[in-house]
Amino acid sequence: MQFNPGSGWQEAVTSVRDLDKWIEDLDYIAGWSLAHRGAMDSRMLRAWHLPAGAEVEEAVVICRGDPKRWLRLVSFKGIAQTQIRSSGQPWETGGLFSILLYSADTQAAFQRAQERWWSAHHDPVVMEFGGRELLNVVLRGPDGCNFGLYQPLKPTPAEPFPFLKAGPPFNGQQMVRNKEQTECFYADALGWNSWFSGTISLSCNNFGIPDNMVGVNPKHVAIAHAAEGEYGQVELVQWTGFEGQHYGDKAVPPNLGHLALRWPVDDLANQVATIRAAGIDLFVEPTTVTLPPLGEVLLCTIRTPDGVMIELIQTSG
Amino acid sequence: MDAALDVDGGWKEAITNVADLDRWCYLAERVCGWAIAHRGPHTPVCSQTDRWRQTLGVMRYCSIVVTNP
Repeated sequence: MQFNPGSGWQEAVTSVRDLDKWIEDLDYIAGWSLAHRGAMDSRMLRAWHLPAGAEVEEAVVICRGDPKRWLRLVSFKGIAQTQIRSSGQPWETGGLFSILLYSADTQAAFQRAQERWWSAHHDPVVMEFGGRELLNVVLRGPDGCNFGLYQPLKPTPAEPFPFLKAGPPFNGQQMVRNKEQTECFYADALGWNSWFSGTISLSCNNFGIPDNMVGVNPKHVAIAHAAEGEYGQVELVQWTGFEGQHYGDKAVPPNLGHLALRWPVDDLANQVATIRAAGIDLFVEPTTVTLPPLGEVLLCTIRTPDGVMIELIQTSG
Repeated sequence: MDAALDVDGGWKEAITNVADLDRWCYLAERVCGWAIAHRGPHTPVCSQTDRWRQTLGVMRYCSIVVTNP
């Protein structure tokens, strides 16, 4: 586990109620293991505009076979909180909808998830995208969190799946109100480019909408990244023909759910200048905090037009 | 608990087959405020008395455990 600038986001931050259960669940379902557990740096509380009295414990869980990016679970005690995407439907906007990962066996993972009291938006379905077929399920975990699992089917993988249950997180999926506007945000503030940008009409019902509506209303989709490679990217999805709530205002600490994506950069001051030049306000001004196992980092936060927190980090070393 | 027969025409209990009886009992108490009136090995309903032993609105949770002899 090391600081890895030059590619996409390195860790996703998820606010959870029951840290013990989450650690056990992610081990059981995804095979991720605990790499760090301890009190969160209290300076992070101040940075997040939270009262100093709150207790926060955090845990980092990783895919041992590929520990380049991971999930950081944070659990707040002694402070009022609500679920960010409470009772959220997939077409509803705001916040981080889902963390995506590749799975060795999606059906088996879905069964393990059900054994741990999780659910899904639909039973696993074969998704065709970009000339590939993947067995996909969108798991519904506790605290309003979703995880999209993808098992490569076709073309038949040349090598066996390298992980026992699942790989590391590779994508932060966001349901957005305006795909083009959010795409511009990522380009202007962060310099990320879309390797896919267009309109799709999937023929599978991975999100559990009424069957007679599958493929009827197209989605505007962009998949953007900081550099070549599938990992550390974001997927922006704008549904059409479906309306609902917007959760962007609630997508801040200490609320429960997927909270932030942390992106390592070499020169935070330079990136902040770019962000300000783009007319984007900082949610958190550059602040020094300790972020185990990376150590002390300089961190600042911006929020996308739909409220997702993007935290830029630079090591002090 | 009033376990008298109460044949008023409505159904008396719903049966839910669950994987984790402990957790369901915990949730029934914590979320719904229900009390655990009975817990024990499940046997098939074999008499009218057993069938109507419960009062109105009782949920019977059944956890089926298969063991390998």
